[in-house]
Amino acid sequence: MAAELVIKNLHVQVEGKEILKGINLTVDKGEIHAVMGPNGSGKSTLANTLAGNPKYVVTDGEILYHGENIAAWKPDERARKGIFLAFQYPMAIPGVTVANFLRTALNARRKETGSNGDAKAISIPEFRKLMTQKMELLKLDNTFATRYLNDGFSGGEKKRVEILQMAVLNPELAVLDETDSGLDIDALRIVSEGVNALAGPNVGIVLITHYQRILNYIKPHFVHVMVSGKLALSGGAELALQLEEKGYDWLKEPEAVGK
Amino acid sequence: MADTVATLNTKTGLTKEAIEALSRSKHEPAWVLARRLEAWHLYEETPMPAANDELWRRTSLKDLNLESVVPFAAGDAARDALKALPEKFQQVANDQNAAGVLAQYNTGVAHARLADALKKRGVILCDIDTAIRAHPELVKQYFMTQAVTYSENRYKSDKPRTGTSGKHEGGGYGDTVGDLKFAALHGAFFSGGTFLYVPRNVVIDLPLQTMTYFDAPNLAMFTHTLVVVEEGAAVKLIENYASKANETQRFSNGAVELIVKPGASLQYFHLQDYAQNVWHFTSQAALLEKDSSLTWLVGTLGSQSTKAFLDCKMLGTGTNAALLGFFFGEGTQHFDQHTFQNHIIGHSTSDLLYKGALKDNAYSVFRGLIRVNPAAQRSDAYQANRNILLSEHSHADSIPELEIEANDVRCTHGATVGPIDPEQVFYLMARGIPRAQAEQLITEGFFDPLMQKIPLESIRDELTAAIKTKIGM
Repeated sequence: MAAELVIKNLHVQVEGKEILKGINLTVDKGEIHAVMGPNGSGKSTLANTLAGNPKYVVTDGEILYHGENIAAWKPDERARKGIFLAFQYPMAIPGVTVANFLRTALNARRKETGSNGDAKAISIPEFRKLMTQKMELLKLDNTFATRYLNDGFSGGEKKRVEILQMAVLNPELAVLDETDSGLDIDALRIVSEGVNALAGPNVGIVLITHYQRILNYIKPHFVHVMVSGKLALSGGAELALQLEEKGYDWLKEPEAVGK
Repeated sequence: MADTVATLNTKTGLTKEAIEALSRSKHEPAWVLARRLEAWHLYEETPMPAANDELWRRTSLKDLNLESVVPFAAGDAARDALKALPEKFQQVANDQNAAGVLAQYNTGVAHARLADALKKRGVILCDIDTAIRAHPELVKQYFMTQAVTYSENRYKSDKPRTGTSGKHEGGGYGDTVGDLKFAALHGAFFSGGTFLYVPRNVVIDLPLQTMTYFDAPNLAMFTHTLVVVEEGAAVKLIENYASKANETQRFSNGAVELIVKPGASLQYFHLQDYAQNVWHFTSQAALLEKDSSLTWLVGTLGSQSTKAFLDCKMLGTGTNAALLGFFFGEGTQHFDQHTFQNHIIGHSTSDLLYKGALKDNAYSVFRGLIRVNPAAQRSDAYQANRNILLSEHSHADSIPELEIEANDVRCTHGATVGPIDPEQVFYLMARGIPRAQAEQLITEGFFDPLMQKIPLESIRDELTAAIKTKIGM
């Protein structure tokens, strides 16, 4: 069977500027891949491109999901088929409650995946039960259900609600874009525990991070280092420790060093 | 329903004779007719607002046809008129979560109910005609004498100023007709409407509500709302306006007067969903005395064209006004709204939020004036107008105007006009929600904080449904 995700020679432009310059990456079910790298190296571009953000234009290469080229898939179609992006900067949607939003999203996904009885919209009591259970996992107070989505949430709350969404939508491929940034140590632990609870043999995870810190909680099978729009180096979990020690500068192209 | 129509007046035209006939048919006392004729005189003396009038340049009256309107319907209150109202109004009329209901069909009362406990405490909820008969002293005192008046032009200013570029530069509107012309016409032909009086220290928890519906051929509506909330009293009033869809042009010319005495509290909701053949003119004014508070929400979904003047006068210290509005235009709907946060005395707060969505070729104007008199030190005045454009050809103008003559004030204003934020749409789509549904959710959400202010669930649900229909995605 085809791997979950195969990225081949991916080139991406944002507003006319090339950011990704030939990425190759294969992620299989059950694997956790950490993508690390300095600011501006293209990590978030990779995340947004996988989710289908229209601002990010693929100019070359391809993305295969379960063997299918997803170039023409709109963001909502990708999501319904199991690709999930935890945003670095989640958007506030004032006036739309977390519960209403999540139920709408879950029903959209069920419609796509359900082959038999599952395709029905989830009943409200059933949904409530599911949400309460997942909120406990993320240690979110149940008042969050009736709050407007991300509206006035603290940075840590937003990140926990991203993982709550992941927990409810149950993706097959999760891309976590700097989910650790801006979190204090307690929030980092809660978010990491949430991710670990969701990780397993049926899901592939791409964990994008600037810091090694989150890898103390979430153990990656592979670590890749992105520099100037390319994966400059790949290895096992030990590579993260090496980066922690040496920083990123030694991997940069000579002319970029010390800039 | 046929027997109600049979008794309608069908004479067309706005004339002095029509006013006299109207007054006769209502068996009005002489002072009422005298006031009507005084208003008529002023109407005739005041020029029709022209395109070069600063306050009218965005609303053309060239297609307004006043010749064919029937100014009143005599003796049309049938016993079962409630059944003539749309079903949703019938349900709302029976909503036991309201402490009182007044329903109007064409210009007659269709249904009136007020909790006995409130009647015993002196609360009055009735139509204006009844109020003139039963409570003439109150009507004489307040009816178009303090809030919406036509003896002075509130908008005219010695300090105009439209610069050489033709662009208005603030500091007054110069020689404008303001709302004088249509306020005077209203004063001549007012008919039906709401009179609410809440005596001292009477606090009413459950909301009161009114419904006005019209369908008689060519009938013009001149509804008048007069609310007087005495010292220390508190009340919530929700008013709903609708009409039957009809191909020919209709005319509505209403007024609302809100008088809030010291320490009193009023929540007033004015929800207009007329059919899209109605030309709707409305003058609304609130007077806030010392330590009073007002929440004033104006919802505009209907009409072909709406021209609204909404004045909030802060007459005492410690007053607090929340001015809220929502509107949603579609087709060729045209909404032109003027708000006026008039701080006459200081230590007062006004906070305005108007939100609109526009699709198709709809057009809206929000023009918000904040005036702080020299004597009104320590005033806080805030103003925000947010507009979402849902189509390429919809358009919104947002014009904040500040006339600050005191130096110790806090004042902010902000306006936004633009499409739905594509990043918000992407965020929802990235969770599997199709684009159309995402835009619908965001638009509904945009209005939700204002919907939540409405203290009656049945009305909230109606409005939410109406907005959903308008979004139509």
